[in-house]
Amino acid sequence: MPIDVVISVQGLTASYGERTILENVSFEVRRGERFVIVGGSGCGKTTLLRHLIGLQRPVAGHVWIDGEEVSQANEEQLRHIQRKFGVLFQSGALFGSLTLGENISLLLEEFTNLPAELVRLIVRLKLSMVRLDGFEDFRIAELSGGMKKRAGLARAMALDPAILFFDEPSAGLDPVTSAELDELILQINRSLGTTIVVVSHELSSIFTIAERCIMLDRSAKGIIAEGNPRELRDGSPDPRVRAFFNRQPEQATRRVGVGH
Amino acid sequence: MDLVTFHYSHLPGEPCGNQLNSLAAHAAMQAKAAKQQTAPVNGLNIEKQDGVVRIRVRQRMDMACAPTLMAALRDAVCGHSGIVELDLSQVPYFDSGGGAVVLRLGHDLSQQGGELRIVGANPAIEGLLSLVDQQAVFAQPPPEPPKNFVLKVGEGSLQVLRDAYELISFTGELVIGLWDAFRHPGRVRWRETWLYMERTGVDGVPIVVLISFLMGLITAFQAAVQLTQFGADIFVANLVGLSITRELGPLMTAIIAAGRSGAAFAAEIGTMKVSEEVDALTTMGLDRTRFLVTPKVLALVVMLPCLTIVADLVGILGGLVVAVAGMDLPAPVYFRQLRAAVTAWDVISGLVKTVAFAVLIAGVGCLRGFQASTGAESVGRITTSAIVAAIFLIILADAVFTVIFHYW
Repeated sequence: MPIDVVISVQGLTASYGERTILENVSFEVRRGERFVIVGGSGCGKTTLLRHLIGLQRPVAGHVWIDGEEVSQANEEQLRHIQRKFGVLFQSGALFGSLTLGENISLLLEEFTNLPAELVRLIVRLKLSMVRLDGFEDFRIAELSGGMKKRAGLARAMALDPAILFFDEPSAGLDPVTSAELDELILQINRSLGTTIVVVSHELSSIFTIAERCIMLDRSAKGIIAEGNPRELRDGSPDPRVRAFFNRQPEQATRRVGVGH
Repeated sequence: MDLVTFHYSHLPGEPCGNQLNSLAAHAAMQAKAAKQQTAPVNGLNIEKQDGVVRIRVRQRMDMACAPTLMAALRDAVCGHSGIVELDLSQVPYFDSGGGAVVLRLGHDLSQQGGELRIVGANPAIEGLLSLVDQQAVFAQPPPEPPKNFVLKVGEGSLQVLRDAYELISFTGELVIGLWDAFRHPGRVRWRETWLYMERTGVDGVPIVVLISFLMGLITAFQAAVQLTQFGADIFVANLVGLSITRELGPLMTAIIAAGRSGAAFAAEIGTMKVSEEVDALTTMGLDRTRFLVTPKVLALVVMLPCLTIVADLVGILGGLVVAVAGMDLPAPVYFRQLRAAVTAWDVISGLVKTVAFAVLIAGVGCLRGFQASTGAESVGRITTSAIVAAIFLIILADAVFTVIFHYW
């Protein structure tokens, strides 16, 4: 694996029981890249993400993160690999029984030997990075949807991971909040050099965030396009890809032909 | 020009005041650092020139060495009110730990009238620091106004009133719901009711059988020890029969049901409340009592007496085992004595109680479920509360029934 490749997936096959979701999927993500996994609903985006972060084991194929194989790792190795990345889950997945600050300090207290004063300072630093200054004593129930996402991001970044995974960052957010979150993701990538892997079907987010994307398709059970989203929108030979990036119904042409 | 360059690890102690300060504290800090297994500070060059302290960091600035690094840097600028130049050009690795140290140092200096200048920061360090709003990080949140006694009492009273209101209105809803079910049986959600009957009744049989058998066994054994002293062995049948049918059977079954079904009802409705399913039901114009409460209450009202009959029978069998195996009483003798001692009224009075217990268990489970607010934690809390309240109410109701039956 070349040095600048940080995530490598080879021949990944994923299935739930009899139903195969993904078949023989291979791709690589470079260090510091903003990489987006796109595709319509039910195409296996989230399944792919769950395989990347080690929540599910592939039926066949391999997943490497930073040179270590996730797909074959035992519990202990997996925990070690999981320290290298942070995940922002769709609903934030913050612990409702803790305050916002405690959600972040939990990780720092578990994995470092920092004294309480520094933990508090780092918590405030993380919250400042996601523009949630002064909210550390708030309970999770008191936060709005957008704030929960940013709080989840702050928690994902608690241990300065080299890779951040986002599952549908704009899901359930209004366009403005969603654009702000995209901007924040860009800033973090540029300032900290963090590798960003996003799962999304939100076109505006995809065009803002992605340097490179792969598009999954339900019937193909794998990747049907790879590249810069703008180039795919304008020049992909595959009508399914053009339809997705241009936000058109896939059968548009056929329907026009028959109807009129 | 006084120029001092040193490595932190090998220096004797000196008092605070100049740049070679507080090394005793530093030694103590290092001892603590060793205990915490934090990385030692060994890459600081500190020089003082024309009132400017220049610190060049030649080591990692990460979370592992942040505590020691911060202490060393604080020592170095202790009491300094001029410019401090922090040279980060030779830092091989920098993370939020380093960021916190730099922020803290800058804040300390500005408090004592100095200024921190960062030089030679690479883009990664600059990027990290640029994301942080320094003023906001150290801003103190406004303290909450302290609550005085009157306020606390007022809030507490309001809470009690709200709880009472909820209890009364829920009881009303429940009564209306049950009355409705009685008048229009066709409107009851029978499919759910059957399901809950299976879960609360049939699925609960094994544990009820096990516990009531053991209760019968234990009661008979304890009685045997006393009764044989007086040669009154035969009365073990009276004792077991009466205590099981009147009290132990209904009570143990109800407590098991509170733990199994009451908790399940509370957790189910609580989770529905948290995930806004209850709100969805209400906004669709559907009655939450008819959909969620009545099937559960009806199911338990039917099944708890059935479970109690099972418990009575098995409990008496438990007594029989002790009588036959431990006291050499023949089984027919045990049963004959039992028939003489236990009347139909004993069994029926026990079953009547369980109907009331069932309403209490299911009702309190559903009520607590609707009181869930947000999040997983509140579901846990209301479930606990549902069981505790149900058991308390069962015992209370049992006491009331005992008095009523006594004067009947």
